[in-house]
Amino acid sequence: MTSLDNRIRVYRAEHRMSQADLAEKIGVTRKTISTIEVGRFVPSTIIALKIAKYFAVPVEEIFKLEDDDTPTVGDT
Amino acid sequence: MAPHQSAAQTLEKFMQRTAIGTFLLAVSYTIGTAEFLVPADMAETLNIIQKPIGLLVILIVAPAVWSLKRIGALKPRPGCDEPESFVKDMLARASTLAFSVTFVTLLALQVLSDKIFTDQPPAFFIGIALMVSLYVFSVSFFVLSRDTGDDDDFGEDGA
Repeated sequence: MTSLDNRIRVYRAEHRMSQADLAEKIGVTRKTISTIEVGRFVPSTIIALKIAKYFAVPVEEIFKLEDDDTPTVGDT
Repeated sequence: MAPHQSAAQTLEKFMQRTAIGTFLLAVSYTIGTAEFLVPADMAETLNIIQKPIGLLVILIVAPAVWSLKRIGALKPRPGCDEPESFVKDMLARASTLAFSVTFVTLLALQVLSDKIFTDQPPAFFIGIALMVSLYVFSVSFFVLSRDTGDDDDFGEDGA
């Protein structure tokens, strides 16, 4: 089954940020960040884009689909 | 309201207060429904107990609604329909669960009303349906949105 993996914790560690710090920067609560990190909550596109924007990286650097076999447009 | 509370925290607090208010309403409906099953003198006592609960619900929810209005969260936001917080998502899940359980309860009550409590008025059965709905919504919200206290050790203070 496809699941969403994320590297928010890694990026937080690199920037020495707490969950509360990141939550404040992107306008959500600490609980939202905490539950995204452990995979309990799948973030909205808006939250995902905000997190990626804050860390100044493409969104797929932080969020990645696990066990996903969706074909790309070039596949035949 | 606590100082430096963000809009997201205000919104979450509103949802938590709404769930607390809903639970108290469920208690109120429980008392109201029980009034049909007890002797008249006890029903009068239950009625007296029930009334302050409504006031308590207003006292809990009204300040939260005011806080929401103050931050402009009551205005429609086109294009932002996705759940933007974990708690908001859990509120939606609790609502869906409550709707489903209420539907099943109504079906069960329709069958049971011919077999037991045959002398009870429709208000009794409506009270049971509302009570179940409100309990399921509030309890499932609290269970779904409970904090698991995950690690948060990269901040300046926690490092």
